[in-house]
Amino acid sequence: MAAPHMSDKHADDPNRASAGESHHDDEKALQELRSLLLSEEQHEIVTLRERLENPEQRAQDASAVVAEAIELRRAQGGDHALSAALTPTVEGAVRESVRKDSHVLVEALFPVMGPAIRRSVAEVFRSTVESFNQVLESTFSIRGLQWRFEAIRMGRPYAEVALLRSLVYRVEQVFLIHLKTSLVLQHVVDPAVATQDADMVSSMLSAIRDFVRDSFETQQSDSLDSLQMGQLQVWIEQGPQAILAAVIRGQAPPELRLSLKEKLEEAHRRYAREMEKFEGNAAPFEAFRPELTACLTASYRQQEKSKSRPYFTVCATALAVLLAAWFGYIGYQNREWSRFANELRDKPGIVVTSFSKSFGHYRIQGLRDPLAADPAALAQQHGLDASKAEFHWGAFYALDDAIAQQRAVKLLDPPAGVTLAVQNGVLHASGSCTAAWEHMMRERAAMIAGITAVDDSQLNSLGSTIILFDLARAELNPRQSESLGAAAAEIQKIRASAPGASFELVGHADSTGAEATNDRLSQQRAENVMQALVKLGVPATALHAAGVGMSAPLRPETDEQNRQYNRSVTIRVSGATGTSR
Amino acid sequence: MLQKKICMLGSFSVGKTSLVKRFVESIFSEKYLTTVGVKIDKKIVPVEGQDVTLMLWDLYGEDEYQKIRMSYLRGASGYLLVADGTRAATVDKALAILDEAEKNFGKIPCVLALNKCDLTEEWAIAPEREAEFAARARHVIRTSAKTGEGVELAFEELAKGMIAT
Repeated sequence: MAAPHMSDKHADDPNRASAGESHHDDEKALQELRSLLLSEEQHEIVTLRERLENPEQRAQDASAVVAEAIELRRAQGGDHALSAALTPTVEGAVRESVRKDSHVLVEALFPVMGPAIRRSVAEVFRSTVESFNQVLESTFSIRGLQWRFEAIRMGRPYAEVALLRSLVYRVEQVFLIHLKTSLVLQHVVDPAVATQDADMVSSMLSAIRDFVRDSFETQQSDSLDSLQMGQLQVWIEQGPQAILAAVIRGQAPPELRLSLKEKLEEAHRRYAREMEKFEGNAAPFEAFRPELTACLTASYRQQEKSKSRPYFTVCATALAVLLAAWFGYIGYQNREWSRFANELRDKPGIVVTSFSKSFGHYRIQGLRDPLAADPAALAQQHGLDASKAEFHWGAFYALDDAIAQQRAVKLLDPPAGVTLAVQNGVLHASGSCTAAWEHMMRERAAMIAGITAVDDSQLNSLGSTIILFDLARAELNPRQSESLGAAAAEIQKIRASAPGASFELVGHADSTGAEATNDRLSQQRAENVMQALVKLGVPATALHAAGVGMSAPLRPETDEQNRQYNRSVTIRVSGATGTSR
Repeated sequence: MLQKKICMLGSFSVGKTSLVKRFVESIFSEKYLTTVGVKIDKKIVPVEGQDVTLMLWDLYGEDEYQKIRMSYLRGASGYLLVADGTRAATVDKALAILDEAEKNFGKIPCVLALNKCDLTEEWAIAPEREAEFAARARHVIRTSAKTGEGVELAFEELAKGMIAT
């Protein structure tokens, strides 16, 4: 383009014109030469230019290598810059996708949301269990007792005191604060900690930092990096756009500050643009919440393992076993004594009014008939140690049949062959006795406590009448006439009150002689007594004679006197009507 | 929720603290004012259908012995200038503080509250002067800490100004 311009400028000069024509020819030749030599390259340049100037073509070319380019950038270590460049686009795309149809993203995230939530819940649960374990481990120790006392003194829950005392440190809150405005970008807090309004606290914290910086004329780059009050500290890390403040209880390790720095750096790396343009909308920083939550760490003191601990454990276990055994034994004894006291209430002649127990000692009070069973002896029979019990009994007369029967036996002293029984207050006397005892029994029985009536229908005073015979003789001995007379009189008396009564005369023989002879002899003796009684006025129809030989001896024949008793006839009432006398 | 930092500026005893005491959330004692020189309160106001959290920096009133700490104004999105309507000099002082603030941190929305408007007989600000002040502030509003008049309006106007910026 420059050549024509120059030729126009010098057109009025002939030499110049000639030279110009020559030059023009040269140019043309050069063009021809150039086209001959470089026509292929020129064509390629034109093609490339068209390609570069065509957006569609450029997009097509870039699409062919974009994946490789990203891969190459990552390999070169440019992850963060690449992420920072892509983040706004990706975030915008996600927002747009959610705005259009949230189900697409929900479906895409569904497979990861479940595990993530479960993991989060498991982490919280693990943390809770760890804290709970700390409390449990210390509950039964001496230190635990000290803490319990302290909790009572301070009026705070034991768990809270135990956790605080076993705590090395705990990051309770973390603030991410915008440096320029002092507004909270993000705030996380341990669930176990009660907090004030995070917005106001963060602003006041910033004000205090400004106050300290202004008041002490420090350099502009200097800043307050920690505050401490008692067990509570605030560690502050400052970045170009934001500060990170961690509220820590206890003594945190220096490594924690490094961790806080890294978090702050990461926040700046991820949100540099948002921080710079921050106008009060903290929503973009919500995504940083998990990072801050990870800073809420805690450490607890490990239980000191001393050599004596196994012995202590063994002793404690043995003590626990002994205590359990002792309590078990006391419980068993209590049950047995309670059962015994209840059984005692059912015993005749005993009235239990109170039963008490105290630390293995027992006290039973009530009323007791002197004839009732001895409670101490009964306790021994139950396998109980009577020395552990105090018995306090007041005396009284029991009216139970059993006690009344014992009382009757004791007072009436019945002869052998007489049986006394009390039923529903009625004294039943049975057997054979003398007329004199029968008379005495009738007089005294009514005065015995617990006896309301007497039944002596089964008692006969003939039982003592024995008619003796000489050896091998069936004839009556004249010495027995008095006994026969008394027997006849008694029989008549009985018949007077019981006309239908009949009497059996039983003949006996001793063991000497043949059995058949003795049978006959005893039969003969009975018949001879019967005839004598008839002679004395007893009707024969009321009498029945029978010999039993030596089959029913009255006494064992240990000597001649006893043998004499077996050579006899006895009289007993049979077929009496049972009329009470 | 949108948050904004606003600063309350004015002379000593113009009623800044009293003005907001009944209308804000507060967790800090007033002794912070005389020690640290500022007390932070919080107020949520509705603006155009959305709630805006105002972090209210109540600065210790400037007097002949103590200047306002300018570092406390950094990052503020608006100023609530407070003057005592019964003392004209406090209005001048408030505007002087505003000048100083704008010199350091640039121009931001501002509302001038002429306080103690319940003391009508002692009112010392002429209407023409109020119009003059309006050139400097987004709004000039008469307020009363005693009756509550104009207080909510002052916050709402300031919030609107900040949102619109």
